[in-house]
Amino acid sequence: MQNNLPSSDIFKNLRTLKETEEFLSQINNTLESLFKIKRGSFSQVLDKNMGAENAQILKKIAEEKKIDLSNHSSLEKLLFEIKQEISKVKVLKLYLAIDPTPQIIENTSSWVKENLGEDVVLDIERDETILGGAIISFDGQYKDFSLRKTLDEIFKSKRNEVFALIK
Amino acid sequence: MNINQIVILDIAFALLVVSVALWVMVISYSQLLKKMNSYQRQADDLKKQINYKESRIIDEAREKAREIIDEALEKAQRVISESQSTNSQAKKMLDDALEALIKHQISYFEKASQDFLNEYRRELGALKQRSVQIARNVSEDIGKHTLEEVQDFDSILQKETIAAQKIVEDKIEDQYSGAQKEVEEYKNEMMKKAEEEIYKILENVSKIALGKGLSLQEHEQLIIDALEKAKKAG
Repeated sequence: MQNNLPSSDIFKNLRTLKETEEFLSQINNTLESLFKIKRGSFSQVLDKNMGAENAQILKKIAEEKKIDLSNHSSLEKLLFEIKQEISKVKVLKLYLAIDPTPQIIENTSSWVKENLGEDVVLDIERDETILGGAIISFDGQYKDFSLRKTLDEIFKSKRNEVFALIK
Repeated sequence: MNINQIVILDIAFALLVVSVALWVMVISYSQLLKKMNSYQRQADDLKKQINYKESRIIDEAREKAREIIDEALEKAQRVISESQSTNSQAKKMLDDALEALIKHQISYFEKASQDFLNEYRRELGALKQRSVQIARNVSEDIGKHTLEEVQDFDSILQKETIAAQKIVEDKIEDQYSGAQKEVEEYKNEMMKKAEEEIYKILENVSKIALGKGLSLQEHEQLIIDALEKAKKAG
């Protein structure tokens, strides 16, 4: 992905759609705060609205682009650019049989970013009926790799044997 | 002479003519009246004469009618009296003859009725005997025929019963085999349904057991495997 921003830093922390929406909300809050404060250091504004980690990322980006944090308009422009970048994020919808732990989310997100791109985030929904595995919807495609489907196929193929056992 | 005088003369002449005409008319009218009166008198006389003649004729006719009626009455009385005497004589003769006849008839009827009664009794006796004989014969015939009929009926009934029995047996056999077949089919159908149900239960239980039996790590692995498969599938 070609841009002027080090997007890997931005997207690295954005694993899920929820996190992405939260990040966007933080940027919007920061922008609102910037409108109110015309002068002074905006570092505190960032710390207050973005959270420590994201604020650090933004500061790092500002440093790399040589943007003065006390420069209101430059900072504003930067935030708008970041917002624009984030709006281009791609969503991979996952239906899982469980509520994933943070570790599972982390590992899954890592795989997705490694194999599909940094700008892909996960949108996870729980569906117990799939029993295991996942149903994946991405880029207009829908694939069922759930345990339920696998078992259905097994039972179909082994139907006669099962009936013989019943009899 | 001027015109006025001429006119006056003309008028006078006209008046004269008119008066003469009137005079003539009056005279003729009076004569006519006289004639009418004389005719009227004649008519009255004639009427009187006619009335007189009429009354005379009526009186004469009345007199004549009275005479005729009196004569007829006398004659009728004579005839009646004659017939009455003849009537009483005839009546007496008739009564005598009638009495004699009645006596003769009574004796004849008495004899005839007695003969008739005897004859009736004889005939009745003979008829009774004949009837008894006929009744005897008939009852014997009836008995004989009835016995034959009963025997025939019995044999027919036996045959029919056996045939009906056979038909019923065949029908029962058919229905039984049909029922057996249905029962068998029903049994197979129920068995099939039961097997299907068991299969479904087995399937669902297996799925639930497998799903719940997985650990978090196994779930994670399955998720990654699914993603790998999706990537390979494109």
